[in-house]
Amino acid sequence: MIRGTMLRRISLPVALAALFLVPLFGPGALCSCGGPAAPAGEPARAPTESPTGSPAATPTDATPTPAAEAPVALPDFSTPDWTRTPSATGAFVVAWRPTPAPIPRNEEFTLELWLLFDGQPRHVSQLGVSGWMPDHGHGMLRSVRAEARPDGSYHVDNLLLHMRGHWLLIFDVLEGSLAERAEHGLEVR
Amino acid sequence: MWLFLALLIAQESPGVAFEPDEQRILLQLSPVPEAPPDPTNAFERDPAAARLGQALFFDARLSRDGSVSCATCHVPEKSWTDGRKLGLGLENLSRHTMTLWNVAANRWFFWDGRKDTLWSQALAPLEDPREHGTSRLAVVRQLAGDPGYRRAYTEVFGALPDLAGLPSDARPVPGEPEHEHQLAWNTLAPERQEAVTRAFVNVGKAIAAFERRIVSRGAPFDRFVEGLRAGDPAGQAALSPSAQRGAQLFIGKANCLFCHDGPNFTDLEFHDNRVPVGEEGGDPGRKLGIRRLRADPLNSTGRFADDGGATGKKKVGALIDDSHGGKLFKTPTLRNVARTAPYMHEGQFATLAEVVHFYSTLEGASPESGSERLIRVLGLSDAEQADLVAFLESLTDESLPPELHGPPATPYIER
Repeated sequence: MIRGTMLRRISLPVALAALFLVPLFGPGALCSCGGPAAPAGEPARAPTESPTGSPAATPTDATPTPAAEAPVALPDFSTPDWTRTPSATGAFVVAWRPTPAPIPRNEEFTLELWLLFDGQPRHVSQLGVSGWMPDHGHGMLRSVRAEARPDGSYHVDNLLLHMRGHWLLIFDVLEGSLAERAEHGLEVR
Repeated sequence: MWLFLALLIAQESPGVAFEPDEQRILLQLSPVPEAPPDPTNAFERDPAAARLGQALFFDARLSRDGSVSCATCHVPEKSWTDGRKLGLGLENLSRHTMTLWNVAANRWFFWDGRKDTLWSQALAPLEDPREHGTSRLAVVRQLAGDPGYRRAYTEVFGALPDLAGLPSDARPVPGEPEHEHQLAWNTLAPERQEAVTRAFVNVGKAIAAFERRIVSRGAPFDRFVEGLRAGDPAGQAALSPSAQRGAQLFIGKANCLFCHDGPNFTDLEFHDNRVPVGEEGGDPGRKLGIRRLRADPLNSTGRFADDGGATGKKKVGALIDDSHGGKLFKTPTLRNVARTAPYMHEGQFATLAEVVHFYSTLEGASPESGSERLIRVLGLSDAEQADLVAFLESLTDESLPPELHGPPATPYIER
C-alpha cells in the first residue's frame, strides 16, 4: 500500500537535460505519441501546487497547441482519487490515478494519466513513465507501456513497484523543444 | 527451583512490545495465501494431474541411466532440497538446489529466472545433460510403455502421441546441430515433433500440479502473527523472546525486509546481495537468465501455454535486459530456511549463523556489481545475530501430508 503523497520537484539546468535522464532510469515507458493532439475539453482545474523550486525555463515554442476536436468532459481532478503532479518548471501538470488504488506493493497496477498544459489535455511527442528508488539505486524491473487514448488521456500499464520504501514516479515529457520532468514521491508500505 | 528459574528467565527476556508500524508489517507477513493461479497451466488444480505428476517426480526412470529423479535433488526429508553446496545430477551442477516449499508462488524460476512457469521449469532438468540427461521423446516413451502412466496420462490429457517408427531418444538441442539427439529430432516430421513436445509439456504441467501442493504455512511465526492479530498473548508466545527480537530486527535495523518481503519472505525478484563468489565469479545470473527465457520455445509466450501466451507475452515482453546492471539472483523464500542449508546460489554459507554474520560484517563480500545499493554493513551484535537466527528458525513448518513424500501407489486415481 502507498501512504499519502509527497510532492517533490527537480531542477534541471536546462530543460533539454531531461532528455539524458530518461535513459538513465531505463525501466520506463517511452510513448512516442506524435499523432493528433487530444481534444480540448472543459478546462481542467489549475494545479493547486505551484512550482516553487529553481527558476523554471519558460516553455516557448514547445507549448503544444490544443486540438479542436469534439469537447470531452474531463474527469474531476480535484477528487481524492486523483493526484496532480506539476512538472519541474510548471510547464505542465500530470494528473493521474492508479488502478488498483492505493498502489499495491509488488503487484501490477495501471495509471490513467492526463498531461495538462494550462489546464488543457495534450498528447505529446514522447511520454516516459518510470519508477525509481533513490535510496536503493534501482528502478522497476520491467518496461512500462504508455498508450495514448482518443479522449486525450494515456493508459499506462506494466507498472510494478516490487519493494517497500520510498519510490519516485517519474514522468518525462518531450514536446518540441520542451524536455521536462515531473516527479512524485511515494512510500510503498 | 525450576519455577524460580523460569520466572527469572521470563523477567530477563520479556517479549517485544512492537510499535504499531511494526505490528502492521508483521501482519503483512502471515498467513501464507494460496499461490496465484497460473493461467498457462489448465491442469494445475486437477487432482489426477497432480497424482500423475507426483509419480513422475519420484521416478528415476526419467533419466538417461535410471539414476536421477526430481527427488534426487529435491528430497522431501531434506526440505525439498539436497543438503549439498552445489546440486548433483548425473554430473556436478554449478548452483545450489533451491527448495520447493511454496514454489508455485514464484514469479520466475531458477536462481536466474530463466523459466517463467513452474511447468516449464520442471522440464528443464529432464533434458539437461548434467541433470537427468534424457530427452523428451524418451520421456514420452516411458509414459507410453508403462500401463499405469498411459492410463493416468490419457485420463488427464487424452491420448498419447503415436510413437511408432520413432527413434528412442530425440530432442531439440539448441546450438548443437550435430548432437545425436538433434539429428534424431530432425528425422521427425514437424507434426510429430509437435505431438511429442506437447506430451512432454503435459508432463511438466502434471509435475507442476504436484509441486503446487508443497506448501508450508503453519510455522511458529504464523501462530505468533495470529496471536498478534487477535491480541492473544498465548499465540504470541509461539515465538521466543529472542525470536521476537529477531523479528523486530528482520523488519527493521537488519534490512532483511528489503528483499525478503511478504508471507513467503521473498519479493520474487532479483538482487545483487554481494555474497562471495568463486574464483571464476563468472555467473551472470539474471542477465543471462532473461536472454535464455526469451529464447526458450517452452516459455509462457508460446503455443504451449494454455492461455495462448497472453499472460506470457505481457510478462516476458516487459522484461528489461539489464535493469540494474550487475549480477542478480533470485530472492529465495525463507519458509523452512533453517532446514535448507547451505545457503545462497553457490551454497556459500553452511549455516544461518554464517549468513547473518556475513550480512552484519560483509566480510569477504563481492563488490557491488551494478547500480543497486542495498547491502551495507549492519554491525549487529552477537546477541542480535543470535536473535535473527532464532527468528529465521521460527519459520519452520514441514508438516506436509506424509503421502506426498514419496510416489503414490498408482499414478492414476481409482474412480
